[in-house]
Parts: sequence; C-alpha cells; structure tokens
Amino acid sequence: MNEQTTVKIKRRLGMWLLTAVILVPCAYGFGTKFNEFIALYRGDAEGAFAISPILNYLLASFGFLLLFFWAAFKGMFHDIERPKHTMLENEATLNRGVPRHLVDLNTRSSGSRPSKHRLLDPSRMQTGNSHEYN
Amino acid sequence: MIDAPGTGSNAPRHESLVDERIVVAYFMIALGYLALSMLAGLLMALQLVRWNPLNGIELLSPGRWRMIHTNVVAYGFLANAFLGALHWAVPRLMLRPVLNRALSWFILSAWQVVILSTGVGIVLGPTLQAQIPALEKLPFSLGAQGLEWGETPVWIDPLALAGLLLVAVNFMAPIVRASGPMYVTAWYFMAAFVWTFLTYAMGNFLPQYSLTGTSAGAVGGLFIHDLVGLFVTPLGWGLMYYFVPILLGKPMWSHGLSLVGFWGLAFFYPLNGIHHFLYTPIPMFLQYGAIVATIAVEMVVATVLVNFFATIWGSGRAVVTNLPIRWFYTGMVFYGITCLQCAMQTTLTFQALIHFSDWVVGHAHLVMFGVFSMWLLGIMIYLLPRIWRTEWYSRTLSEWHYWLSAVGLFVMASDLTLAGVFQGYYWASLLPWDDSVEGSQPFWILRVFAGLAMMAGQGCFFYNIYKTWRKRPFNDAAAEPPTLATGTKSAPSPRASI
Repeated sequence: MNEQTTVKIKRRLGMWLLTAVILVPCAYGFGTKFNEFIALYRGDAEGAFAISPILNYLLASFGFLLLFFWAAFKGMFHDIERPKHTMLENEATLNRGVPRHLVDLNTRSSGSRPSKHRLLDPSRMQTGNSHEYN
Repeated sequence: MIDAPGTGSNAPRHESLVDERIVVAYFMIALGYLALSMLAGLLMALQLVRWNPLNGIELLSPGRWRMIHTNVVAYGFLANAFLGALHWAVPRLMLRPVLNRALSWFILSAWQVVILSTGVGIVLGPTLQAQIPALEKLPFSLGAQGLEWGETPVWIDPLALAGLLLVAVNFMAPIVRASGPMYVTAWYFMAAFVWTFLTYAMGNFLPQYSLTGTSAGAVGGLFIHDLVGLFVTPLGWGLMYYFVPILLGKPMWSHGLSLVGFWGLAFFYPLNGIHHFLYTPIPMFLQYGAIVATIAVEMVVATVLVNFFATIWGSGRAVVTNLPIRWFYTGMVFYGITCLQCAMQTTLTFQALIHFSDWVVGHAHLVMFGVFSMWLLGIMIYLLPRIWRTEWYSRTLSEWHYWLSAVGLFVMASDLTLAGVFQGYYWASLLPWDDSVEGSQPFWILRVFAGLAMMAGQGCFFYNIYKTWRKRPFNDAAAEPPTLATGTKSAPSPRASI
C-alpha cells in the first residue's frame, strides 16, 4: 500500500468519524423530539395543531432537499469557485463599449486619491482562467 | 451561468438585456413610498411623546398610521426597490432578458394598485363598510386583516399573490434557461421567488380561513419572520453577492462558503418564526426547535459575514472612497448586530425581559432600515448616475445622506434597545403601567430627533436625485467625462428621456 492510498484511507476514515460525531447526536435529538411530537398528537387532540407549522417546515425543506440533490447530480458544485469568476467576466463583456467614466462613477471621493480597486474594466481584464480583474 | 447565450460579437449587449426605464421607475416609486412611510413613522413617534398633530381625526388615527408605516415600508419601499434592482441584476447576471418587458410594466402598475388599495383599505375600509349598506353585507372586512405585517385587506390578498406569481415567472425565465453551475446570487433569487409566494400564501390564507387560536398564532409567527428571512433576506444577500464583487473589481473570497450560507438559510430558517411566541401555549418542543434553528442560522450568518469581510480585505479604503460600498458594508455591520440581538432575544431568560418592549421596535428598525434599506439605497446610489450617464450633482449631499441616515438609525436603534430594557425592568418590578410610560418618555423624545435626522438625510438624497436628473446628458455621445463626484456642479446639458 503506497503512501498516497494510506493518506486517502485516513482521510476517508476521518470523514466518516466526523460524520458519525455530528449525525448520531443529531439523529438522537431529532428522534427524541419526534417521539415527543407523536405522543402529543396521540394523547391530546388539541395538540394536533402543532402539525401545521411542522408540515410547513417539512414541505419547504423537502423541496429544497430535492433541489439540493438535483443540483449535486447536475454537477452544480463541481469547480465550485468557477461561477464567481464567470460572473465578473460576463460583467466585463457587458461593460464593453461603455465609456470608462460611466462605469467608474462612484470610486473616488472629493479630494482623495483614487481607489486601488476599480469597477470592472474590460480593457484591464485578462482572458482565460487567470482570474485577474484588476 | 457558465454557458452564455453568445460570446464575442454575438455576446448580448446591455441595451438588449436591461430596460433602464423600469429600473428608474421602480426606484422613484420606492422612494416616494419611503417618504410616506417615514412620515407615518414620525406621526407615530409624535403620538408617543403626546404631540399628535392629527389628534381627533379618526381616519388618521395613530393605529392606522402605524399600519401604513409598516406596510408601506415593506411592500411599497422594499418590494419596489428590490424589483427595480432585480430588473438590472437578473438579466445581466444570466445574460438573458426577463420573460417579457410588457409583463414587467404590467407588474409595476398592478403592484402599485395592490399597495394603494392596501393603504385605502387600512385607512377607509371599516368606515366605508359601516356607512354604505351594500358594502356592509360583504362577507369579509374591507379594512386591515388582523395579522402583524399582513394587514393587507383580505380582498387584496389573492391579487397580491397573483402579482407575486407573475414576478416569479418573469424573473425565473432567464434563470431556468441558463445551464451550468449557477452563481450564488441566482440561487438566492430563485429561492426568494418561490419562498415569497409560499410565505405570503401561508401567512395570509391559513390563519384567515383554516386555522384558529394558537395554531393560527404559530403560523402567524412563521409568516412575520419568514417575510424577513425568506423574502427580504435572500433578495438582499443575492444583490450583495452581485454588486459587491463588481464594485470592488474582484470576486468573492469563497463561492463555496457563500453556497453554505444559501443552503443553511434554506434548511434552518423556515422553523425560526415560532421564536416570536416563546412562553405561549405552543408546545415547548416547537419553541425549543425554533430556538435551535435560530442558533443554527446565526452560524450560517457568520459564514456570510466572514465571506464578505474577507472579500474586502486589502481593499478597505473602498469604504471611504466608494459610496455604494460604504452603504453596503454599513448594512452588513448592522446585520451582524441585528443577528447578535436575535441570538440574545431567542433565549428564554432574555425574552422574558424584552418581550413587548421597544427593544423589538429597535430591532425591527435595525433590520429594515439599517440593513435592507441601506443596501437598496446603496444600489440606487450606484445605478442612478450610471443610468443617467452623469455623476452625482453633489458629493457633499451624498455624504450628508449617508451620515444622517447611518447615525440617525444607530441612535434610534440604540435608544429603543435601551428603552426596551428599561421597560422590561419596569414591568418586572410590577410598578403601575403608567410608570413605564413616563420612564420611556426621554427615549421616545430622542427617537423623534433620530427619526428627523434620518428624514433629513433622505431629503438630501431626494434633492440630489432631482438635480442629478436635471443635469443628465441628452445621450451617451453627449456625455462628457464627469468630474467623478467631486461635488462640483457641471454645466447644464440637454436631457435624456429616462
């Protein structure tokens, strides 16, 4: 077994350990409270009103859980930092042809020296994956 | 997001994506409502210091003004300003226009009908119904609905909901058509369109038609909190994630962390609302659930704030030189404070002291003005001169606008927070109620002056807007390089049509 495999196994073990440390108490807490909820529902007809906020929450959360899985399987979280660069590149494209002084209206104050950071300026943007905008 | 509809010479142009006229129209309408809301707030503040200039006029009673104050700021100012900003941000972010420009203008008109009808309903509804026999027979009230933040009369609720559906359809079209990993702003916007619709339906219909008693109260609690957390918050943060990197000229510190913030909000926020009803007959496990969910949201908030402050790290001078950035980051500092307050408020010990007191009023002002209004005003400060192709008429007025708003709000929120603690101890000591009212007077007087300062700040802004609009050039070609907000006046030039 080479060193790389050992590191990989150690990492995986660490991840599962951490997962267990987080999930087991959470599952215990949730289970206990859910039991309490069922007991309340069975024992007290008036207490059944608690269902409405719980259902509201479960419905909303279930929808977002599905969305989360859909996003994960669609690869939305691969190269997770890429969208922040794409957004700025798109802005630069849209600013193309707009006179610089119209894009840069708010970046200096009276009598002060120019800010180091300016609005996105297409002429200064490098293309490709360099992710440099200034 | 990744896959743009065109690149190079085929790349979409700003003019084909953004209808600048509707952005300006939304902003101007929003500012009109802001002025009305602040006037209503001032009247309420004067009532509390026993100097109500409208005393004895039933239709202009303080109870009505209070509802006008809260409804107009939420649905008149914030909603309109958000819609204006979305008409700029969504098409540019997704590189696709909204579904239909005509629909956008229809929504603008319809939403104003909803707001004005709400105002008329609150002020005139019960009186009209009592005096006109035909209206008296209606099976529902024409006046305010008995739901905090949801006083919109019941007959307007279906119209408002239809409006929210149209908003969602109009803005979701460019978002769902995009493929590839989405930027965090798109996630926030997409969620906001769904959440706002569901929250409005839940809060306005369930307690009105199907739930009663404590159950209706629990859902009402979810509604008032979700209105902040699932309507205003995702739109606000979505816009910050969009405008801050653009203005700083560099990307967010961590996009992964920003997604943690988004999904954390999605899963932890919806159960928070019941923390408004601690010590009520709502089962304790639901109250504890709300407290735990609130603490979880505080952790999510910490990730968001860390991300934004890490982004500006090394560019701190932008807070001084760049006005919109200053508004944005001031709002974020207030956001941190308000979330800290929130963590304290949801502890049972603390809640026993401050419930029903002015602490809550101070907290609400800190959130609504200190955070979201500040962000939206910052966005207007960035976009209006850009749309009008000229710099602000006066940098000095812009500075006054900022300082009067920020300091006024800080004084008001601190004052009311302290007043709340005093009131809590008055009540806990079992002194007569009147003693707590007398003890609150100094705080309420200071609140009037803080409010006047904030109003003066907006006065500077309105005048600056008017003068800037007057000096806008006729077209792009005529736009001369401005003096970059030096506060000096430019020579008058022909006007554009916006």
